Amino acid sequence: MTPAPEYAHRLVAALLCWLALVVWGSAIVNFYPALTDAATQGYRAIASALAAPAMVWAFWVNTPRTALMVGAALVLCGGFLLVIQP
Amino acid sequence: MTPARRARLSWLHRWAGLVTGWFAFAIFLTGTLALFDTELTRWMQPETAIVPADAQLTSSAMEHAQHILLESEHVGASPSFLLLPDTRDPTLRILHYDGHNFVGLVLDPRTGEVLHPRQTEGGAFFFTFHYTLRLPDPWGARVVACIAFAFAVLVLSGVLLHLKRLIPDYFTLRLQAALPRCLLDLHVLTGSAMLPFHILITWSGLVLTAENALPLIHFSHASTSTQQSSVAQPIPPWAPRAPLNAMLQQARSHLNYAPSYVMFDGNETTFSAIQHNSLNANDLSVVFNSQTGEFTNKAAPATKLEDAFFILNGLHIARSMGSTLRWLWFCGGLTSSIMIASGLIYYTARQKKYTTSTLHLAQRLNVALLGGPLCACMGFLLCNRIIPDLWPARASLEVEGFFCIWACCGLLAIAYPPYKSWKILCWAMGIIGLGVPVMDALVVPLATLGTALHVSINSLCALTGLLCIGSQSLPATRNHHD
Repeated sequence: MTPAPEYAHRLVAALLCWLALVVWGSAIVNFYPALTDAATQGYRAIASALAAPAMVWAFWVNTPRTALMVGAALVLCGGFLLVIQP
Repeated sequence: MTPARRARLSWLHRWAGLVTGWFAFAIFLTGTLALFDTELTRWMQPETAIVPADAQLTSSAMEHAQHILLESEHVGASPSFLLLPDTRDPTLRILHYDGHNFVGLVLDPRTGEVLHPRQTEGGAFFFTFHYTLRLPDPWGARVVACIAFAFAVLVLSGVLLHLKRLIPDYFTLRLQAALPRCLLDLHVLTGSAMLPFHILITWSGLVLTAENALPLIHFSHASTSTQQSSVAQPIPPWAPRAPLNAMLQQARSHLNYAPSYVMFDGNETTFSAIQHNSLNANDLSVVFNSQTGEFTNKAAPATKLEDAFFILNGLHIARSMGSTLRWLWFCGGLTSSIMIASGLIYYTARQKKYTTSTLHLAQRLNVALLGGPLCACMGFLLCNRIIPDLWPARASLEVEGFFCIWACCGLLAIAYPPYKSWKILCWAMGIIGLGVPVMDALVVPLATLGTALHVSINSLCALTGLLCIGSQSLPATRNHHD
């Protein structure tokens, strides 16, 4: 039986995946202010399609540590891109 | 798939389903009913049945509507819009937003005479509930967005769990088996048979709620937000001065479609046409000067990306669809609701050997949150026929009736053991379902009762009632259902 803390870590990783989509999407949209409307619609359509696989992926990988690390790395990279935008 | 991975996905599917499934059921059920919101509104306002389905809009009716609009502006009312007659609703409506719903006068399109139908939120109630759960703005939309996300995860994890048996599951339904097996078969069959529909409706729903679920973060503009002035601004003139009739004729020729609604904004009058029998939710529009009646401009054609977005919206909202596709969507919505309900009941039926507090809670929540909405939806229709026509604020009383019936189901779940409360609830749903056509026959004139609209809605209510009563004698439910 899988211990409960492992599921908690995976849940956090799933939420990090969602957050990664938000920060990456925001960063990409903000980089192209001239295309904001089209870019926003495109980002939301793609992110909506990716959200479920990304969150399920956190439960697919063998170790919760991998899910947490990858999720956190994606959030940090997206956040960095968002902060350095012109 | 390794057993450990399968166990993790099962855990995700089970808990995501348990936490969000009850809300998802209410959302799917009301969304399914909202597919026929216009028809339900017409059923709930039988006084409008004097207008035949093929009634033509006359110039005198438009002149009268314009006169009412000018009077409304004169008394300082907020801008209204005109809903022109079409095949789904042959009446002419002058509507404005009251904070919850679109309300206003109903006119006969042949004469312009004001009809006095009973006050009701009609089918729009189900539409609003579907995407807000009647929670205050913006929390309702946010909760629905979260549930849409969880549902997408549920669909994907369910597909991964059953991927191997996806084809055999199409042909497996053991009604004579024990309750857990029968429920699992039903859950998997409804899930796999309508899988493309589940994916389509969930994805398009996610895109529609993406504003709440996938917000955009703007660091650079965070400090430049302007504060709204709290001083109430006077409403500027909005009603058209130029003849609406002449503008309507021009709009028909510009759009090549009959306009569906007319909006008034400052000095502009916009005629918009829904593209009927199409999946595209992009309404074609032409704009006129409200003072002179001159044609100003026509909305530019949508780009391919915008069109894709509008088609995605059209596939979810189903406003411009033909009736065949709408009925197909209705069946899809019902299948989704059955899938969710069977999954939730399966969870409690499977674990009946173990008596845990979670199980007891889940059993009672099943009664309150699966039986409750179904009972309340039919009760809402029954309230429409029971509350007297001229009762003050009867529209809000109908809504209160809906929530009272739901609350009673919750109390029933607390007061009685699950098996007994299910039994009482099934009988109650049966009586309400059969009561709707009976009350309709008592209240509505005989000529109206025979129309296709009344026959279909009354038959569906009676059928639901009979199914609820009949479900008591199913072999699988004989030994207690939870």
